[in-house]
Amino acid sequence: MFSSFSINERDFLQEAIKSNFRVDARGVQDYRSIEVKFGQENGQVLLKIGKTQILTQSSLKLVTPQPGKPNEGFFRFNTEFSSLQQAAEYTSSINTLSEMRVDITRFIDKVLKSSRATDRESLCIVQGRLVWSLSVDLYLINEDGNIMDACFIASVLSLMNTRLPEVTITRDRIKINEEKVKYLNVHHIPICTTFFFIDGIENPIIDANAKEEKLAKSRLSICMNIFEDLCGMSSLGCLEADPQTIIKCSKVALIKTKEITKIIREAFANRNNQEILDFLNSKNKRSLQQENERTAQQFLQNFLGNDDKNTNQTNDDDDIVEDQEVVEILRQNYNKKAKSTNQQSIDKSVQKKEVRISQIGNDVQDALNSGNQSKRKDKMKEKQEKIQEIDSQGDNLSLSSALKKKNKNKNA
Amino acid sequence: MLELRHDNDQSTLRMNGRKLLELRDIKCQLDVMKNTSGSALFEIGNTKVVAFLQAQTLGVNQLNRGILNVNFFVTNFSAIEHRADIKKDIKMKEFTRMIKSVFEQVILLDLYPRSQLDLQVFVLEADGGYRSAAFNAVSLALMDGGIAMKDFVVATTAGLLGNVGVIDLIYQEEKKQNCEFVLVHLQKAQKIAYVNLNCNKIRLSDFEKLMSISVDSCDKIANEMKTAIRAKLVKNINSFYFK
Amino acid sequence: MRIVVPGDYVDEGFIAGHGTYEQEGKIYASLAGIVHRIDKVICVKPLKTSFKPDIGDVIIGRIVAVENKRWTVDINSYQHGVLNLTNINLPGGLQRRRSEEDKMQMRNYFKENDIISGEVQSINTHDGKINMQTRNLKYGKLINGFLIKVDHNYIRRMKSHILEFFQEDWQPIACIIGTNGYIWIYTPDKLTQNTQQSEVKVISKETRVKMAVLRNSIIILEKVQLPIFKDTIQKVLDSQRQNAIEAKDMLKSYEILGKEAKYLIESEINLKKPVNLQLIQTDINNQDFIMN
Repeated sequence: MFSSFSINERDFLQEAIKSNFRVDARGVQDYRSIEVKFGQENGQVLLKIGKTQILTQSSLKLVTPQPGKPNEGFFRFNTEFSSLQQAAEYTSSINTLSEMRVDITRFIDKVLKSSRATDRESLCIVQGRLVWSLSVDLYLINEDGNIMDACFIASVLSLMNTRLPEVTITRDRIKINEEKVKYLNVHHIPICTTFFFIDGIENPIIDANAKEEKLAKSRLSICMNIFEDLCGMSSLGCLEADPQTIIKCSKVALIKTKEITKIIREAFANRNNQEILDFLNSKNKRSLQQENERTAQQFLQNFLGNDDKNTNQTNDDDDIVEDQEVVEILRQNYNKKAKSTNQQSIDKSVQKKEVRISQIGNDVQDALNSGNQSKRKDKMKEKQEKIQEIDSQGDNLSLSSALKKKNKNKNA
Repeated sequence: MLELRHDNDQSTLRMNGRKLLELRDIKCQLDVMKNTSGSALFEIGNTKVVAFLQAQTLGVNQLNRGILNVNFFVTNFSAIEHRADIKKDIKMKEFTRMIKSVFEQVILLDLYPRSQLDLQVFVLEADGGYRSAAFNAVSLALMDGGIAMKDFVVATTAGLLGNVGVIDLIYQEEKKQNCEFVLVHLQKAQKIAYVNLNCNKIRLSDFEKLMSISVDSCDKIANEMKTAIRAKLVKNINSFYFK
Repeated sequence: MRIVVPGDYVDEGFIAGHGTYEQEGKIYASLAGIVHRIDKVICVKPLKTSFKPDIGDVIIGRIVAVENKRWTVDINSYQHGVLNLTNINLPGGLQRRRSEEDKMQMRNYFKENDIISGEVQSINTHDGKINMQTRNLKYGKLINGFLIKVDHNYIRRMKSHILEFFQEDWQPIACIIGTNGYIWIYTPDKLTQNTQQSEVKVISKETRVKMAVLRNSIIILEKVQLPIFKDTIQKVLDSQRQNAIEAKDMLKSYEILGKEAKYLIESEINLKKPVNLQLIQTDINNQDFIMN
């Protein structure tokens, strides 16, 4: 329709697809090579489908929940498609890049929320007062067709790679420990498969590259997971397909979902051996941390006056504390404190530790900035040693230290 | 409130006493607004959607085919709660694109060079199934305005209550969002033009069920629309002999 | 006579006319309407169309733009009409080549938002451009009156589109019925036979009352869904005089006023209609949801 395509090229591509042997030697229902790289930052994923590249990163923010839904956090998916060289050229017959953004963002939002890939309750910290707001940013680095699939898979992967820092609430302060322990709970992995329908060809093709997408008159995106659940479906353009074709497509989608989930699981298992992808400016990260700490302190002040019981209760009800040994260690620490020293001295020591931890945090970030791997490793070692020192003093009430102690006990 | 209840003679009924595959009352009115090229009001149960068509001229020497513009609007008094912020609603933007993409390929735009067809679709009352009602209203408005189309476009909404497939959801049934399935069907070619599934994980077998019941209900809705069009034409049959 | 909707199969082996398209040798309808067959051409006539002019139609339009040697005119159709500088009548009836000065003085003839009457000269085949001309003395800029807009489907092509009413009074009222649905009601000069008037007159109250009566009668005909031409308008004016309804109450009692005209039309149409349809009656009583 609005394709800026020469007639010869169009005819050749159509003939190629009809004969089930596409221009890059794929079959009609073959995906291009999919590469997944997990990064060390929160929710960082680099996904490549052929030449299409998507980079994602997620960030967490502390907010109050909605009054009607006190134990639900927030999800937001933002997409950035402003890659300069593509914007001018990209005119698929279905729509332009900026119009696609609306489609894609809405589809991802709708499916991931209604199919409960991850639920909002897992983002709750204090019921009614404090929840996480997770925003996942998707950046389109290179566009070569089939952005819908790439964005969808990338957003699910970034959810898998998101780590929630634990929030400990003591008497007077909330501490956000950036030592990431808890991965976001992703219940199932929905995968989107997009079928492009071309005029004159009965069977649709999967994973079109940019030129093939220009040929296509309509698309159908089917979202499934490996447990054979259909999570969502959306189409654009006038499909002109039989009901049987659509059911066939959903069955093909199931096969593809299984293949892709396999690739994803392998990549996730190997994630620690990959290079660190580092593109977010550390300044932004620091300001976000400070902002989070500020909001945390505000909330604490707001309800500290009302309820002391609440804080104790949340400590008890916290899902983080699961293991009995850990609970015992915490209790021992607390009892030691109550017996030996005053509250004020405790606070001072805790303050000092906080300062040290934040200093260490800064050091680590400086190390990251420098970009020199060997230096980084040294600094990481230093950090670990310092933390061990603090732990050995036995005053830290945080869970990570308790867990480490438990591990020490196990090893010892 | 029970979603389904069984009667004495073992026929399952839904909340408002309908059978599983029973549609609500449909009312189609054509030529509802005098100053427009074409207009239509489509009512199914309490859901009311009105579509206005304005065929305009463009001054610029454009391509050799017309342009279709769609503006879809869910009014803030249409749902149970009044909604103040509509302009930033991304759901409506998404749905305008859906309507536009389907009708751009069904209308024979080559016959309207250098013209612009402006469609305004308003949801006056949303009591479940307003998306399919919007497609139907646009289809009627285009027919009323004398715009050439390749085919007769009909849409329907289906859903799942538990494991049971039902047709034409009302607001309470939709809200639970077990499943909402919008299907747009082309009557002459007997093919599907648009699919949209909004659900919380359903089995593939359930999906096949949904497809088959939706296609059947599209035929029923198409008959209602056709009788309305025929009635209008017969009513004004004298005007065919004026000239 | 068949009623079809888009996508219905119509016939085979004929030529596909307006409102139909051909696919694999078969003809399908693309509009909702009634099938007509004229010799070998099958077409579907819808209830409503946008105004499509033919050569020779009398048209009233509003000047939208003044361009290089031509004016663009809004004529309530799928495109704006075009009035070339060469196709107008110069004042005084001069016949000469249009010069550069004429080009610079186009606004002295017609400027934006003027209302003119003219005739369709030609329609380009490849892009549908509508060319107008006002070369006759009866066409040109319109003053001393007002415009009403009516659905163009109620207007037929007549011998003369300029009608006069109230001739027994010493001041007749005239109207120009444009085929595109625009109607201009005005007071003609008695002395000259031209419709081109040069001065703005002072119009008395009685004249205005008569113009209002004429306007209301035309609106009533549209409301009662009857064609608008001399006889029907005359019938409405007569019944208004008989029933002694005042001008301002005319629109309320449109049924009474439209009765006579209705009988006239129905008898005329029954001659044209095929026999099996003569029994179908028109009914305008159920107005479910009409916004005006």
